[in-house]
Parts: sequence; structure tokens; C-alpha cells
Amino acid sequence: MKNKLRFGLSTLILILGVAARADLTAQEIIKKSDRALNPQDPFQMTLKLTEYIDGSSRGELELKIISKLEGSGGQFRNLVRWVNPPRDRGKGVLLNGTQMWFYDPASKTSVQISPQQRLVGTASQGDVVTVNFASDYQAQFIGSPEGQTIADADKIKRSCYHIELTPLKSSAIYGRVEYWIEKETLRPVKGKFYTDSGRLLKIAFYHNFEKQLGVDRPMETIIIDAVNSKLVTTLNSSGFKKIDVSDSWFQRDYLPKLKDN
Amino acid sequence: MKFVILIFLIGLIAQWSLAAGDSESDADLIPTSLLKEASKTNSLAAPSSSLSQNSFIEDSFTAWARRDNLIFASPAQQANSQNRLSLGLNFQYQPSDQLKLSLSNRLSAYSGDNVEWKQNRFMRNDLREASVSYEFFPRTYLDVGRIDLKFGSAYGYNPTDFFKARTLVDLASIDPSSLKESRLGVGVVSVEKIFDGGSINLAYAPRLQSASPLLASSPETFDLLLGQTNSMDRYLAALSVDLAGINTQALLFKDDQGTHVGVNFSRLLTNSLVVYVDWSGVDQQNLSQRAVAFGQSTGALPSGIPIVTQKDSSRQFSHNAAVGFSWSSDEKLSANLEYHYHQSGFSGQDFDDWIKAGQEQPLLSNQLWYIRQYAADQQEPFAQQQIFIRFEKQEAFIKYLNLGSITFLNSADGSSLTQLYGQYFINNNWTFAAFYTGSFGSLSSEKGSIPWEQNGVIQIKRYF
Repeated sequence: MKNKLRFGLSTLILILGVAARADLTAQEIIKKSDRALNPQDPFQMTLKLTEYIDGSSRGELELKIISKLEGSGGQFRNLVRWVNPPRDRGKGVLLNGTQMWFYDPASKTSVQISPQQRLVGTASQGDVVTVNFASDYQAQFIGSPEGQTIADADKIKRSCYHIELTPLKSSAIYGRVEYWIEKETLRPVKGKFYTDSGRLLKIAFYHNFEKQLGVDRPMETIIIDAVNSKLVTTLNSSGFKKIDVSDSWFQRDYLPKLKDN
Repeated sequence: MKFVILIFLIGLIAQWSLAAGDSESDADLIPTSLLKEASKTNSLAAPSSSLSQNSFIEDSFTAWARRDNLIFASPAQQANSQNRLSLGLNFQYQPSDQLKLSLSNRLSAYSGDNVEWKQNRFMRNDLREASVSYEFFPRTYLDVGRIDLKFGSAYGYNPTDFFKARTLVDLASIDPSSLKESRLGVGVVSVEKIFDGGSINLAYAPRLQSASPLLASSPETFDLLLGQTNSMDRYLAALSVDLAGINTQALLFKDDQGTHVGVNFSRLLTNSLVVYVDWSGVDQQNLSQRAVAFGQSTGALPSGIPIVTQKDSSRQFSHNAAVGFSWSSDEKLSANLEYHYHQSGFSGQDFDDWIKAGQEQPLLSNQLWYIRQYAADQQEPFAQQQIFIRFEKQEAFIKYLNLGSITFLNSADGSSLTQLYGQYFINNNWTFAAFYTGSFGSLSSEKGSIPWEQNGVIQIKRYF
């Protein structure tokens, strides 16, 4: 009897929860999902990128990321510093809206780069930086009103909202995004990212959720190259910590001053 | 009723299966080996070491095809081939949050038909940087030591890069980014304040030695070359601000020539286009006059006659500018196109006169070539006007392969210096690169009168 009651209650809670979310707009869902991806306080983390060709590891990259939200509900400003491999150590990128600067310690110069260059590479600068999709994109449901059930990275079926994102601002990295967000948890499950010309660039799976800075966040993102699906890149996050970040850090002259630790 | 529910459930399952089809195939693209490995690597430690380094060993072999039918010969002996083996050490140590020590050094051993083995001049050590940086107030830095200070927004030529003169070390490529990597810092004391939306930088580079002549051969192995980098007192003030999305830098620079003013800025124009301008101006003599005066003051050129005839010996305000744009596509192709103007450099007529003087007065050939060597040493364009074009394709044909080309085109005579290059990242540690460079144009043109027609470089680099 007790078991039946427990089952009934949990089912009711689930139904009520989903019913409550049924009222959410696509934009609100994206906003809530963004919170799983991004801490709201200024923070630092380490990101390890591993490239696989045909399932075999080919190269690794380790980055230090510093992010700070610009105002409430605005976009993140990011500083990225290459920690490994030695060939790239000390390189840095600043992303502040559409302002992007690349610093090379070998030539000791910072050059302004265009947002288009965020797309270069299987896991590009656009993937390693912290982004509020809700700030840069207009969201709308696509496909069936019930959403879509898809397999996650572990091939576990997840009932998801299927949402299309189209750019609202010039700071939007991609020309279009298809996004699947689990209905029950509002966690991102999968994304498909397209260029301005509509070409599919990559497919991303959000994986290994762990509580970090108080919220369950994907500790791994698996990115599959859309042109050559044998090229897969994993992005493993670690070392989340809140830090004090001055607004004056987000300019080109600060890039050479960025510390390794 | 049961029938209706059954139909509804069948419909629901069918829809579910259809919807899941595409998505399951996406998940199938993830190799199972990768998921197993991922579970082991999901708890990385944050970097904590206060010592960071990116050092390397590099071997670079260059072969030249000489141009033997020059209108008048260059005094510099053109090698047929040369091999350089270099050890580059780059360290940064941060004993505290406020203090940073930096060292960048390159030791090279040369072999080839132009290398002076008997005089032990086959080794060369370049102390590029050795400095201390102290953050004595939040985001206010005092830097002291040999420091590579750079300014400018353009790619091929930076008129506001005031400390570039006489700092070139060695290079395998004509790529301006390689030029920027291959240079010595200058002995300097600087204070930089970074504030919201900008920064201000004040620097003083003192005179530490009298000016040394242009290098005619390899220097002593451990020569710090202060006679090149610190042969006069120099002062710089630079203000950087963001003006409505335009990154602007205004500079004042004072050296023995006078006070230079400069401005550079860049602006994002579209999602794939960045435009930039780099300009400076100073009251000075033209390139030819400055070269001869420098040669005479350092004893490289005789003070008496004969001497290159100067049409106009007066000083005038000279403009230097680079205007251009960088463009990139979502096909991993990037390009730069720039126009360079160097008012005190050689116009088409000046160059014709240069050729004519060499033809008519062979005794002047050393002086005439000295002007070109001086321009190269100062990292000034020899020509008054030129076009710079650069293309690079990342992941060209295969992953980890970059292919590119660089061209400097003399707009007065149509001659050009063009380089094709490829760079392959063998793995995280090894990089292989190959360069082919050709100088094209008639023998009486600027690039067509370079003493070599073409050269090829093969380079292998191991980082550790």
C-alpha cells in the first residue's frame, strides 16, 4: 500500500512538474537551461579538449576560462588562456560581445578577429566560451508539440523540448541552432549548430552532469564534426571556482597579463 | 474505450520511434571507446604551477637559387644553403600574484657555405627578453628589463610599432608574424595602467651603448646587441581606448629623429570583416639620406666622396600608413589585404635613379646596396608604396594542415615577393613546415633585383 502511495505521489509530482513547464515559452526554457550550463557569478574553470579520430585520441588542449556576466540576463564576457600543449601555451582570446581579440605570446601581439573565426575548428572558440543562448537567440518550438524523445550520449531515451534558435544579435555565434532540452530537468541534451548559410557544422551532446557551484552542470560536452563524423572532440570541465573579476580585464591590453593559475 | 486507448498508445509509440530514429543515429556517432575514456578524465585538476614554459628545438634548412645577372652586384655574399639548429627557451615564473619574471632566449648553431667556422662565429645566442613585472597597484604594472614592446593593428607593416628598428634576429619566413616573433626586446622601464575600457603606457628605453654598424657577419656568440636595441634614449606614451566599438590607440614617441605621432585602430565591420588603420608621422629626412648618415656615423661608409647623390636633403613631415582588412569565411579560409605607404621610402622614379646610379657608377654599388640593407635593418619598407596580400586555409585537404601564401607587391613596378607555405601539426609536440619564396620582376625592378631568385626552407620543430 505504502509503495503504491509513493508511486502515486511521485507520478503526480512528475505530472504536475511537466504540466507546470508546459506553460513555459521556448525562450523561458532556454533561459532556464542556460543556468545549467553557466554559473551566474564570475567564475574560473579548466577545460580539457581531446580530439579523437576514429575513436583514437589524436591531440589534447587545456584551457583556462574566466567568465563574467555583463549585467542581469546579458551575455557572458570571456577570457581564454591556453595552458597546454606547450606549442600554444600563453595564447589568449578575449570575447566581449562581438569584440574578439587573439593574443599570441610568440609575436607578443593582439589582433582583432571577426566573430566568423569563432567557428574555426571542430571545437571552436565558440564552444569553449560561456554563452547565454537566451540572450543572443530567439527561441521557438519546432516539430511535434509534444516535443521529441531522443537518445542522449549514453543512448538513454530522454523526452525533450525541441527548440530552434535563430540569432537576435550580431554576437550570436551560429546562424541557427537546433536544441533539445530534457522536459523533466530542463538540462540540455543535444544541440545541432549551423552556419549562416545553413550548413550543419557540428552536433553536441551534453554529458556527465555533476553539481558544480550549486547546480548540476554537464562536465563533458561531446562534439561531432558534421562534415567528417569520425572527428569527435570532448570538452571536459573541471576546477569551477568563483573569483573576483574586474571589468577592466575584458580588453586586449589585459590579455598578456592573464595568469596561468 | 479500451480500443481508443490502444490506438492512441500505438500512435504515440509510432511517433516516438520515428522521432527517435534520427537522434539515435547521432548518438551512434559517438565511439564507445571515447565514453569509457571520458569517465576517467572528468575530474581534472586546475593548473597550479607558478612556473610555465614553452621551449622548443628547431632545425631549419634553407637553400637559395642566386640571381647572377644583377645589373650591379650586391656586396653581401649570398649563401647557397644554410642549416640552423636552435634551442628556444621561454620561461615565466610567478613567485607571487604581483610578481612575474620572464625569460626568452634562443641559442642557434649555423652551418653552411657562408658560415665562419674559423672565427667561431657559427653559434649565436639571442637574449630576446629578460624582465621583471611587478603589479604594485591593482592593474598597474611596472616592467623593467629587456622587453619586446609592440604596438599596431595591421598585419604586414606597423608604422606605430616604434621599437621595431634594429631588432630582427633571424627568420625562415617573410611572413610578418614570423618577423614579429624573431626579434629582440629593448632595454626598457615601463609603467602600464589598465582601467575600464582602456590603458595607458609610459616607457623609457635608455641609451646603453653607442650605435653599432649594420651586421655584416655573425656577431660574437653572446653579444647582447645593445648597440642595436639601445643606442639612443627613447620615450613612449600610448593611450588605448575603446570608442564606440573602435579600438583606438594614440601614441607619442621620441627618439633621435624627433617626435613621432601615431594612431592605430581597428573595427569590426561585418561578421567576417575587420578593418584597420595604422598611421604614424614624423619630421625626418628620406630613407636614403638617413641610411647614408647612419653608415657614416657608424663608420660603415666613408665620410668622403663618392657618395650617393641626394636630390633633396631637407627634412619634411613624412607619413607612414597601413590600411587594410582581414576577412574570414566559415570554410576556414582567412585573408588580409593591405596598402602600405612609406613616404620617405623609394618611389618608382627614385628606384629608377638607384638602378641608373649603380649602372653608371659601379663604385657606388656598396652605398646603394647599403640603403636597402639599412631599410631591412630598420624594418622599414624600401618602396614608398606596396600592396600586401595574405591567404591562409586551415585544415586544408587534411586535418592539421595549414596552407597559405603571402605577397608583397610593389605597386610602382609590379614586382613581387611571394611566399607559399605549409604547416603540418604532426602531434601536440612536433610541427613540420615548408616555405617556398620567389622574387619576381625585371632586373631593374625592386623585387626583381633581389640577389636571390628563389629559396626553399624546410623546418621541423619540437616543443617541450
